[in-house]
Amino acid sequence: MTNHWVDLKNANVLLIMGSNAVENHPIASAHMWKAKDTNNATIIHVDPRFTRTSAKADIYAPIRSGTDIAFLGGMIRWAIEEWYNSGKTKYLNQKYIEDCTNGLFKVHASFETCRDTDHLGLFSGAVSGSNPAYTYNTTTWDYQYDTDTGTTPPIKRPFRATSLDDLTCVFQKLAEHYGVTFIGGTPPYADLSKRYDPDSPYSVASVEKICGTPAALFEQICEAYIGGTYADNKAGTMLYAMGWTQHTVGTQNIRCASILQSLLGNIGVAGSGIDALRGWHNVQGATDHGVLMHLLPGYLAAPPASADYSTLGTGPMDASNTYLKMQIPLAMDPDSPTPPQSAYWWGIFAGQYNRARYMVSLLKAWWPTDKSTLLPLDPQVSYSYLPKRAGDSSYLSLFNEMAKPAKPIKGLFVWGSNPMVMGPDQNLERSAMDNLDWLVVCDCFKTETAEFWNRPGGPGPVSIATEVYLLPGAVFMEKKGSASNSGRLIQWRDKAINPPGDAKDETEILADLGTAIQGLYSSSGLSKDLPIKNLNWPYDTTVLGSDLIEGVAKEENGYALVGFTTPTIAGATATYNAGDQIANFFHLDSTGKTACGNWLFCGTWQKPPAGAGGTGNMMKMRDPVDYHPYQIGIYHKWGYSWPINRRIIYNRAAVYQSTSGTKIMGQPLNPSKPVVWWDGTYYSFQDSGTATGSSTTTLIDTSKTWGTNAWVGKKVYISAGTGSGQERSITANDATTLTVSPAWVTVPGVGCSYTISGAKWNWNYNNVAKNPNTNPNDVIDGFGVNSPTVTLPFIMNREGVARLMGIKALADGPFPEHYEPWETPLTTNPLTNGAGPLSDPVVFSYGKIYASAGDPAYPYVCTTYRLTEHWHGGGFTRNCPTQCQLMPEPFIEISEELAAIKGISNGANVLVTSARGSITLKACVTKRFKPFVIDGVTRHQVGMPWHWGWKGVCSGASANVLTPFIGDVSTRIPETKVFLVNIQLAP
Amino acid sequence: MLGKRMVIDTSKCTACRGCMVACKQWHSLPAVDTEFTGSYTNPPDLTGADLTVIQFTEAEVAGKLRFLFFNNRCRHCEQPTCKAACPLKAIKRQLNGIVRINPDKCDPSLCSTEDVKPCQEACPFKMDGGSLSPIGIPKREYVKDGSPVSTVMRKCDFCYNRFTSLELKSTPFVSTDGKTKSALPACQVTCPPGAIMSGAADTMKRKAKKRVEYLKANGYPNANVYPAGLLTHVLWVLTEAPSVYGIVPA
Repeated sequence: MTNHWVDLKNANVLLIMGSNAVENHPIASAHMWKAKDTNNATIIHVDPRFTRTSAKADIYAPIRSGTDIAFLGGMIRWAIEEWYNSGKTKYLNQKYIEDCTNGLFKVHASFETCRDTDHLGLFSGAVSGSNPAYTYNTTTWDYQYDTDTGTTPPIKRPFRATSLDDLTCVFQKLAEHYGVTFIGGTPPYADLSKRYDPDSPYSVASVEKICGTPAALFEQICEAYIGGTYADNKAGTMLYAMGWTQHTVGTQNIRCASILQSLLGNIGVAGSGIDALRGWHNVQGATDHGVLMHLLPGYLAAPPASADYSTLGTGPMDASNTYLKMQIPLAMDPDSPTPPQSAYWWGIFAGQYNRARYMVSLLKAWWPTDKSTLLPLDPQVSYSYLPKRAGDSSYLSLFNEMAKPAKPIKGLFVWGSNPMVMGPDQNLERSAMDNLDWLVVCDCFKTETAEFWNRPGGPGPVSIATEVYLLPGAVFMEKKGSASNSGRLIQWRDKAINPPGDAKDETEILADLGTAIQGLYSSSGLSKDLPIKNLNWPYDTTVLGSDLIEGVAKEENGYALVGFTTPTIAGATATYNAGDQIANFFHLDSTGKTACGNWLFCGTWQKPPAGAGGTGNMMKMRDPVDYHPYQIGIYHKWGYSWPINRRIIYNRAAVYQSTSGTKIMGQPLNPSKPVVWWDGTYYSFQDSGTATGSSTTTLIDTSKTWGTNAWVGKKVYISAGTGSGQERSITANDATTLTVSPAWVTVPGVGCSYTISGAKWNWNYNNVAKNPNTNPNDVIDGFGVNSPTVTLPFIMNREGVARLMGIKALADGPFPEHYEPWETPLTTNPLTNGAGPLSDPVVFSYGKIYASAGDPAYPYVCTTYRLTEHWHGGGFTRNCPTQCQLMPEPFIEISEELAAIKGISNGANVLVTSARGSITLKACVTKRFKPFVIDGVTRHQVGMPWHWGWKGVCSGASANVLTPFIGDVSTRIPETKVFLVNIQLAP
Repeated sequence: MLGKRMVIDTSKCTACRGCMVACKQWHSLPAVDTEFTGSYTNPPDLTGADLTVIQFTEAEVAGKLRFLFFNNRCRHCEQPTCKAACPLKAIKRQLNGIVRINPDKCDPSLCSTEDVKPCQEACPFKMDGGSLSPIGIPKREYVKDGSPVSTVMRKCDFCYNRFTSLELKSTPFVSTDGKTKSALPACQVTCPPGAIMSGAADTMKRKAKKRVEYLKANGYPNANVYPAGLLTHVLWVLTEAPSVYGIVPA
């Protein structure tokens, strides 16, 4: 989430789409009820099926599975039209668009949207191929640039137009792409004459045509969400999950939501956000620590095996391509060299590149030392030990390889996962497992995966050649450690009970396994074995202690390898001894002085006596007080939120970036729910202490070692003792003495307390400088000493603003476009009336079994989903008798209308067939599915939970026997949310 | 009215069934065998091991689809007819209004030779279970691991022994809403949206009525307090008329 769970209470409208939040997050969704209680918030649920979430929503709208971009694109068009036709007073947050997004940036002269009649449904640069059907030359998906030759190297600066009406700017390209037209051909009067024309792309009528959502209901949602959240003092959040991601267009679904939220000023403020609801309590932690195949911990890129990435390098100035040069492209400050400028967080900060700090510190955590000489390893050498990715190891590609007759995958580890229930096209995946020489499963139960050979119709134990090992793991109460939730909040858990018998915490199993493997290589003299021999495994116990979990946590946080002093940051330095925990990722070092397993976790384990009970462990803090002065739910002393305990990311956008009329630079968009604000009367804390001496124009503290004149321009305030209440400007200082002006009225006494504060402009609330321990605001997003007029708000982007238009990305387009799912009942794309591609043209096909478009053998749209009562592959919950009582077996939910047509009564056995296989399920005939009318034709949709397999206290048919082996263009997440089936009464 | 009262707000209930599981845990009751028969409701009715069951109903009311969740259980009548009907005097009504069956005195083999026992016959509260014969709240049977099990009569006992438990009163546990403490009914403590409240009888009645007024003004014109006579120590806030939930009028 860009925001966090507690923040939901601040929303005025919550749009739950691509999610069944109340069923799948029954406890966390209680935060939504606080929004209803305190704001009379409106909850909107858009879903193919009326669920337990819909039952609690204020507005429910049905949508055909796989048409979310048609819906969200329709909202974008509606918002832009209504903004123009309100005289630019309502329905968009114009100032936010101009100041915080790339809306004004001029676009490459040859860029063409999907509305260009030469290539409807495709962008400029389309190159036809075979698989994928198209790729793109992305040269035109870019800004117009000026080149600043006054810098070394020359920096390209995007041009800003002066008005959103400028036809060359991003905003106008966005409007054009989503079908907005103008009376007279140019702004500012939107032409509404085609709003109810179903052939007009992204019109209200096209949403009804493609999604099956009644037009009046769609407009009600537009008014409620767009009308209800565009204003500065209103906020809307979008809660989503697999219903948006598990599609061939999944990533573009999220992009579409992000664009809409950016148009409404719903990023960075309280109650807003793109709020992904993660699927279990620590999947956020799993992705944070780099479990995905293309990542290293902290979302650093795992390098591919290409020439560009063959060496680490040092940064963007490298003569040829290196990892750090590729990963640190230059900032692109728009307009001119003068501020506001892009903070571009990956780049230069206090003399080093941040990206280099994080990557080098990671390498120093994993390969700090040459074990044969005991000398420190050069990070360039450590980088050479890092395996480079050859090809794509996404879940689908992995099983695709595994299935090959040549059996290229010999062995597989499966940790706490049940692919034999949760992966798509189970007939393919289950027989792929038969090809393995060996399999190691670590789990708490004998799952379907652990006994894949014993599946119904499987080879059985005698003929299966795979050697299978089952390692008993520990259940969540039987181990301690951190868990990161959807809101990036990391909470430490204690162990409640020991695992039974030989079962162990998986971290222990991994540690033992790694140690044993390393031992097997100990006598090798081969250089290719050095990555294993020199691996710091499991971590440095002499420095970090012998407690495995705490030691790993401390390594994740990062520690000093040698004694060093940081560069001066905000007027201060920090000094570390070897072995000290690093306080925050500002202090990580790219020259080899620090080790850090995960830069995002830097700050989670401080040097004692900080942290819970003086342990240093910040993740264990449990202070249940909301110290934020406006009670927006920051709770900064409960757990630790990455990065650096920030709760709402992009929060620089929560204040005005510039002054226009009554909107004052630095003031919050919502004065009753501000997150942070920049105000002339408040000060940033720099340092404090107790005076040892003074004179009429000085203050002395002999315990300090300040840099000469480091405090010039700052303020010193006497907070207690003789002379308290006085504040003076500092005109000079040496190591121990401040010179102030004007002179003291009352000379401060020896032993008085003082505070040194930063520039007059500051992000923190009144009294922070005078009371440094409370710091009750949210942590400002980057460069707290810089006002909005100096630093642009979206600090992670090269151009410092949010992107309404993608730059040379994503692979299938800089704007999301509606494409049908891979298996669709339609034969032509209704958005382009058949002129453009039916499905996403950049999808990579694995060449497996798919139904053809509009295949009459499989006329019904099918989706899969989860229930409150079971979790995921059911390894856990289907071994729990109470859960089996509540939901004993899987079922197919069928509308009353379709059931009547097929002669299926409630509870009857139904044979469900897709192109890949068939299963038998009990019928749940329900009012909660209704037939859709899509482009004038009645189309039926059905759905089923997918938790079941053949093992456990309650077993049953696996829905994933039916689902297609095809994935999202960018992530390869399987499209298990929409495919085609047929149903009939089981014989 | 004197004593305690529980209010169950079905408008807040999300049918997560945490209440059913918490109740089993506190009373050491097992999970029972069930099969999918066309509804999320499982088991279809209260059993000797299910003292509360969420009954799911789909209904279309004035053109709006409703998916209704009714936490069915004993109403704890102010004047319990089950108590009067029990020949063994095994049912006690506490001063605070809680009605409970004493498992040491109850003996279904002694009180009657009929299949439907006197307390079940006397109880006026039934669900319209379709093919199920509507019998009252107390139950004594269920199926476990394929075998039928028969016990003493069982029903919700308002977790009467949690209020006075020293162990629960001393633990610092606070529930999801940040306020609910441990020494309260297990269902209330576990409910994530805080749909279950308990407290002084008149205070709870006022809260229920206030919630109904809010619902009527915010999209649920048929909201009501059930049972309407208010002669029970458990009340429900319903968003539709009781019959829409499948509740047979008492």
